[in-house]
Amino acid sequence: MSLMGPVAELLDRVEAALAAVWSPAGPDAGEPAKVRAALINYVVVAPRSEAARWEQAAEAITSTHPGRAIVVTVDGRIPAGDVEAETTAVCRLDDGSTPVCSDRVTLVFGSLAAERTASFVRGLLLSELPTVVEIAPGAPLGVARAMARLADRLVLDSRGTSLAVAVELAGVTRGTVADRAWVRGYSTRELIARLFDDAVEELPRITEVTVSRTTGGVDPAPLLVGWLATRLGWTSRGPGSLDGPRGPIRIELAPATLGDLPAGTLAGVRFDVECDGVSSRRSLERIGVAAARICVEGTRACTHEHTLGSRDESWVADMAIDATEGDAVYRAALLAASQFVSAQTIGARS
Amino acid sequence: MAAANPLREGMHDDRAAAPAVFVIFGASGDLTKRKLVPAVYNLAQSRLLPQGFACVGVARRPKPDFAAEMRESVSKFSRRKPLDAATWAELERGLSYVQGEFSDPATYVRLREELERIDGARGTGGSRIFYLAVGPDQMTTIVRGLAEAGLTPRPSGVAGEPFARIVVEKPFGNDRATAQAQNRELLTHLHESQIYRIDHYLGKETVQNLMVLRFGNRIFEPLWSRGHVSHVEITVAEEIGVEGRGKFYEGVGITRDIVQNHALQLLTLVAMEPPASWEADAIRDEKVKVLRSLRPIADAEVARRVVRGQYAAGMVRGDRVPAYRAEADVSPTSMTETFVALGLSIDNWRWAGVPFFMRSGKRLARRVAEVVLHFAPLPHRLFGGVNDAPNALVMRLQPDEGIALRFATKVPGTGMALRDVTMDFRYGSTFGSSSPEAYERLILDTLRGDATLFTRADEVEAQWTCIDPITRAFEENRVPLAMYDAGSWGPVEADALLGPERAWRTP
Repeated sequence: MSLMGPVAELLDRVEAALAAVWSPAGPDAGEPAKVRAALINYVVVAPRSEAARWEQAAEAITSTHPGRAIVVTVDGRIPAGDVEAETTAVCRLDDGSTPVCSDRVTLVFGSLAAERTASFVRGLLLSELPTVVEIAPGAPLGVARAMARLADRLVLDSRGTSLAVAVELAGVTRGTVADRAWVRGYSTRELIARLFDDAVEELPRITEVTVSRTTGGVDPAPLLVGWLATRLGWTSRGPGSLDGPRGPIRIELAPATLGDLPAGTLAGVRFDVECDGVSSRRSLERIGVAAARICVEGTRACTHEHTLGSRDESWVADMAIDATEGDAVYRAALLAASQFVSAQTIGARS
Repeated sequence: MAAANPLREGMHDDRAAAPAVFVIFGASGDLTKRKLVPAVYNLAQSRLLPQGFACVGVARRPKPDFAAEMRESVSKFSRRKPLDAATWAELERGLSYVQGEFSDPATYVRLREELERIDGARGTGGSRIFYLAVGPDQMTTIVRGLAEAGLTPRPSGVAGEPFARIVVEKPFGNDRATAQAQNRELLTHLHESQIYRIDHYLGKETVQNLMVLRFGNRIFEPLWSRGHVSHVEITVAEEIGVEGRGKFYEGVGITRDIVQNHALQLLTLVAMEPPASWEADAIRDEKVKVLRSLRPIADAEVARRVVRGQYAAGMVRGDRVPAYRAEADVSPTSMTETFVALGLSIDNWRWAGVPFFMRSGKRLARRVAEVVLHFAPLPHRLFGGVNDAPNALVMRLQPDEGIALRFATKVPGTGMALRDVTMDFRYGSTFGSSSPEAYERLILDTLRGDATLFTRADEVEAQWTCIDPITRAFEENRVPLAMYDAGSWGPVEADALLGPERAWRTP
């Protein structure tokens, strides 16, 4: 169903259309009774050109997190004050008889209507349910800011969103913040942690960290450095260096070329450690899209190869919504990454 | 336990396992093939194994193709399919086999040499887990052999030192006296902290969730007492029969096989007081207190408080199945119970006057394990007597692990009709169906040195204290044997146990 008109009236009509989806079928309607499942409101702000893709993504998300999905875009080609809305019911036949349904609204705002997005969307949210707001890479920043304020959980993707925007949106929202790129990077961080599982005492003795990553795209290195810094108590000292508990830690960022890896992907991390005058080295190195090698050089040298596993974006989205145990760690890493980049920038200027 | 790694903070599993060799005695057995090695593989696949890890099988038979056999087992029995070649290749590099009789000291000499070789090659640091996947008759022989070979040094208490832990499978004795004897024998060679008595039931997600439900929520605990609960019902039902294990079952019966361990563990988790911490001994202390608060069933009372049954022929899932007495290796006049129902009382402040009813059986209508808290009826029936069934909280362990809460609601309309509705939470629906298997969790806990989900010696002995009068009465035929049709919910005599006001739930 497609609706157009003055904004307030349109909201009424969208609400009526959604209510009609859920009205019980009459005995003669010929429709089976529908079961409504609703756990969340899922709102995604996306560039207009990506709307169809995000509608599909929203459908995948509501298949695992039933609820109302709202896709918000801005289109400069429609009259500036207009809003277009489309409502859709998405039903699955779980046991072959009773449809289990969720609903979806796609909203297209004209350029001047964008300021109304928050109040419009607020009117459509299912009450008592948490609101997950996802900011897709390339989403219009003004709308993203407004929607971030509605979020109980804000989902970003720092692979396509600059660090500055991510920090700003994390500062705007009152909710928790998740990052799809952070979810994708879990295996890498876990392998880095694994490097030190049996050598925790060496962590305060790290003297140098070298991060290599493929060129292009949003640089993943600052977030990794921010994570290490906040976990290990390092503070910003100046460009290319951090202060650790036992002295300065040199941070080296290096470009890497590794055939299959996309732009802006971590390709390796190396830690130089100095213990009682003895140097050793622990490293993680990507050996392809789906595998990594971790190496320990020194007295207990060993090498292990690990598959990183491949996860599709539906899984990444589910984790971004559900896996909350690392929220505080992520937020701290994001802020530290921002400080690290600022120090680098100041260093580059001077 | 290994020192905390700050880089693991915020990860969904932030406890690292310590490097060690995992040694399986009984490596040619079914448990190894179906459960243990697939569990180790799944841990490797989840990257939960430590960097320094190896697995050694020990058994009597020669196994020139041990690695190939294990690969086949993993392919067949792992919950993750297909087998990941890279994960298996890494695991296989640390896989080896030692052949020998468990009673032969030379076996342990060869094992020690192999372990020393592995320490050098795999960085396992001298730490070992010995998993005894063998019958109870071989347990003490192996423990003695290991001790005499110097493979189980007692812990000195110094953090980070190599460890030697032993995992033993049930049964932990046949009664209190044999359990005590077994514990004494184990403790001659080991410290209690080195012994991990495995009850795979405790590795199930929902069993652990029982504690989260109670102690991780505000809303349930205030209701969790004699003030609000009328009675508690615990059901552990199986559809299967003895599955070719008639000889074993004849000497055991369901009371020893299920009630003494699984069902009583469930009871302790439901009835225990909040522990002071999430430490293994804090939790186990509280569980033992419950077991010690169980009112002993006097010999004269057993027949009144316990029903024993045995399945006759019947239909299960549409198939005709034979009577227990017609199973292979079962005496045609067998008096072994395949069903037991009993009422227990807990004499403590929280539960005084609240009966705990337990039933467990083979060849019942459905495979189900659940704990149900039946809440007390309303003190005053404001809405008349229609549809005023008391509230119930159902904690389902299998199948469809989850929690359901039954409560009354108004039927829409101008009248005041009430209807019971159920809020149903299913683990599989919310978290997906790929929960780790119980053995994965428990093997990982042994590597982490976390004994929370394992049974302590005094716990085992207290369980037998509760069960001994019942099994003694069975052996002396002081409790009639009630027959029930396979595929039913047990003998009708079990219904009377609950009294006229109550009935068993039909799951």
